[in-house]
Amino acid sequence: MPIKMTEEQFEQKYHLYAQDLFNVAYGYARSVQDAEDIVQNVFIKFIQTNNKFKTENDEKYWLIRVTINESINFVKSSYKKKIVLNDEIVQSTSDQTKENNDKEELLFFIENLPEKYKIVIILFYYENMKTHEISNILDISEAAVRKRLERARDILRNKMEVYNEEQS
Amino acid sequence: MKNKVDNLLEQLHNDVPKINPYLKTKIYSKATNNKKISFPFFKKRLLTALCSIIICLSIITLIISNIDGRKSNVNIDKNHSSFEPTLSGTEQDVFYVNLEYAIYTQNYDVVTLAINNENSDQKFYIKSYNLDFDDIIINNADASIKEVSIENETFFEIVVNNIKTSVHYLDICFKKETIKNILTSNNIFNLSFIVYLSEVDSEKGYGFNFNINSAYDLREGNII
Repeated sequence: MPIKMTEEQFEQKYHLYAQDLFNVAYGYARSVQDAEDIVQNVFIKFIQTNNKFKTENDEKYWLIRVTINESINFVKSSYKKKIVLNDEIVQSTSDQTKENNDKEELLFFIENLPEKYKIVIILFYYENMKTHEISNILDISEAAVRKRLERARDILRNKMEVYNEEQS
Repeated sequence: MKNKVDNLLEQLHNDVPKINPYLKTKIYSKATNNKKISFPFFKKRLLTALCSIIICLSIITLIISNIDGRKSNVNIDKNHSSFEPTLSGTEQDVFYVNLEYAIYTQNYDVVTLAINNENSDQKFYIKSYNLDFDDIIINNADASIKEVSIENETFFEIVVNNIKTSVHYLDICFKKETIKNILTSNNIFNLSFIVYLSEVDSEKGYGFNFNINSAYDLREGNII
């Protein structure tokens, strides 16, 4: 089957969505190289499937859903490697400010959130999406998105509190 | 703590680097190169013949493996028929297994379980009652997992090295389309397995039985 999307058409889509997809992939992978690999796979699927979408939003939501799936698959396949990297990061930043350590710890806790909470945190904070956009992507109500966000923040606050108590 | 965590979360968006602007050329050339493969007529016929042979071999293998599978399932049930779920009271507070969800991925059909183990031991053994596991993956901890043979039975031995959390998410992997086929024909996928803490001891096995009636399709375009 011939490719129907021209290079110019693709460039237009790339400028429109690449950074958004990268934000989501980076939220999962936490590495520029890995996030770029994920975005690359997503766009290759996008070009090769050449789906037709009713609206621009439908197109964006499809791309973000595929990015989430690619990212989850990536994280599943490379988790052990990442653990080693994370340990190295923690050691190498031991002299840096407490805020940096807190941030590292928070990222670790986000990484270990149950999937349904992790998705909303990444879309809301990494991608700066509105709750109604997240509800469209996840196909759940806006109230459910807000509830998941609140629950996820509660989990993170509790874990950070325990971590800070242990530190002091 | 509330403000502190919220502030850190608010900073996440600004911490994301910018994507490489030159990536687009590489992506387009990769996507189009993959599609440019074409076969002359005689190669197409050769390919068709090869595909037919592979399909025939697969059907024969499937029939043989089904016969073997039935035999081994009978053995597993027989060996473990005396074990029933034994969780109760305070035991349940320190060790329990929850069913999270079943998913179809590109490589496996997967059942994700959350195992809460607040006991000091970080080694456990898991074995299926009814359907052989293809693989086990732990996503939220550094763990070594291997198949071991104990008294002529094969177990997955899991040793968790990272003990920051007592809850471990276990992906029980089955061959692709295993769960999908069972759900299509029976509407229920029954997952039965036994877990031993620390060592395989016939008096300390925890038996579990979950009935799964739906699975998320995590292949292209869908999410949990």
